[in-house]
Amino acid sequence: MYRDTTPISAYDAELAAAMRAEEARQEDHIELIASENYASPRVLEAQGSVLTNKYAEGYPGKRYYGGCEHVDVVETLAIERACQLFGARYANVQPHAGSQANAAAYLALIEAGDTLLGMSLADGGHLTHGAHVNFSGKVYNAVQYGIDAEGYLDYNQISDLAEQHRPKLLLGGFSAYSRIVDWAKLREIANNVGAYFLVDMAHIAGLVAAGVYPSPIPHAHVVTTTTHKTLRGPRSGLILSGSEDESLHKKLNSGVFPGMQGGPLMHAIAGKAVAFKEAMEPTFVAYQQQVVANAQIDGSGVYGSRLQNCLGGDG
Amino acid sequence: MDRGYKIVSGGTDNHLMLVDLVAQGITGKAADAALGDAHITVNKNAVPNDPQSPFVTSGIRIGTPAVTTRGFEEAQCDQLAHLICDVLDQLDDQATRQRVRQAAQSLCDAFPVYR
Repeated sequence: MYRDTTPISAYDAELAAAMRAEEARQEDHIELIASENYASPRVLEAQGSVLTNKYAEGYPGKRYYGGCEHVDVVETLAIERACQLFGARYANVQPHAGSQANAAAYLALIEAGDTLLGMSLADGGHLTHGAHVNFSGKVYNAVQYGIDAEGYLDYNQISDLAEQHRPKLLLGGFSAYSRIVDWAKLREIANNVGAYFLVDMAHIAGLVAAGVYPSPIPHAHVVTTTTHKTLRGPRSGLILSGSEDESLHKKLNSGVFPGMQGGPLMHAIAGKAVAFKEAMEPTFVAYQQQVVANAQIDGSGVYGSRLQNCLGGDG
Repeated sequence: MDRGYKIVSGGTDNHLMLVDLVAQGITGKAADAALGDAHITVNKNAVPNDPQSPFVTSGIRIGTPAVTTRGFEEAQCDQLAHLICDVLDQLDDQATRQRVRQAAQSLCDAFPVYR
């Protein structure tokens, strides 16, 4: 049927030109967007595979469609590798992206109208951590914490806000914060008010996998992430937990499907399985160490101070 | 440095940093556009107590994951820091942008991604 299909380049000049231009842009521009990366050709191969054709609502061994025996293997590999890579007891590899992973996890853990406490977008948090324009700020009663005058998280403020508002869910994680977060301290704050503690480690997942940034897995009830930032996989999402509580695992699975999503993107799940394998190679650790070294370029500690110096006219 | 561009928190422990351009009166939007024109892609980003709207902002966010994948090490990142400074120091200077664009191209040619 499709054996003699002409490729996009010969079939759709308009689209092909835009795709070629984007390819050239990625090669010829220096990419400093902190949330972007270049996935490997193997990840691209998985993303462009026939797995995109398969409907597989449900989970491996418990599907709502026939013919899932091979995609079951794919998804099981992805789950096992995610658990191994991050030292987790539970992984759900179906979230289409980070926002969907967060939405599914909130759905599993709290009720509409409940209070959640997260970092404000303006201070370095994420849209889905309670911004008023996002579902997380519309569906839930979102209270927001921020950073102090020096640009650091203020744990006393977070603790005070928690005491005052008694959230059901405390969110850790960020999209624009350049320091180490004290996960244990945040868990303690959550425990003090009986809240779940969820960490969105989307930005730092690759660093965490390589052991160059503290892992939130031992401290959080649930950890969510994207898979395409420092982790360098396909554009997708992932939910993890270090907890052995099977009722929590079950709630999270139901939160993803049928709670938030229908059929999973099996081609993206295959891409994740490849990326997790790549992230277990020794070269991945060296890569992540270099990422941080490159960000901390000058000998006195930071790329930032190099920028401060030269932007200030000293260098 | 007293007149210097500020890095929020003064540095980084991970892969990213936020450059606070409030003191210079440069918007994140303008910095993003100027650097983009010089073939250096960043994103505008709100900084603490940002006087500008979220669509304009007063900062840029810079991260190293992608350039490290293509093979940049400290030497290339050091050069890159200077290129960014050059553009921001003279935000509207076309000659500087042209020079930086050429330097960016040389770096990209030396460290290809998929080619």
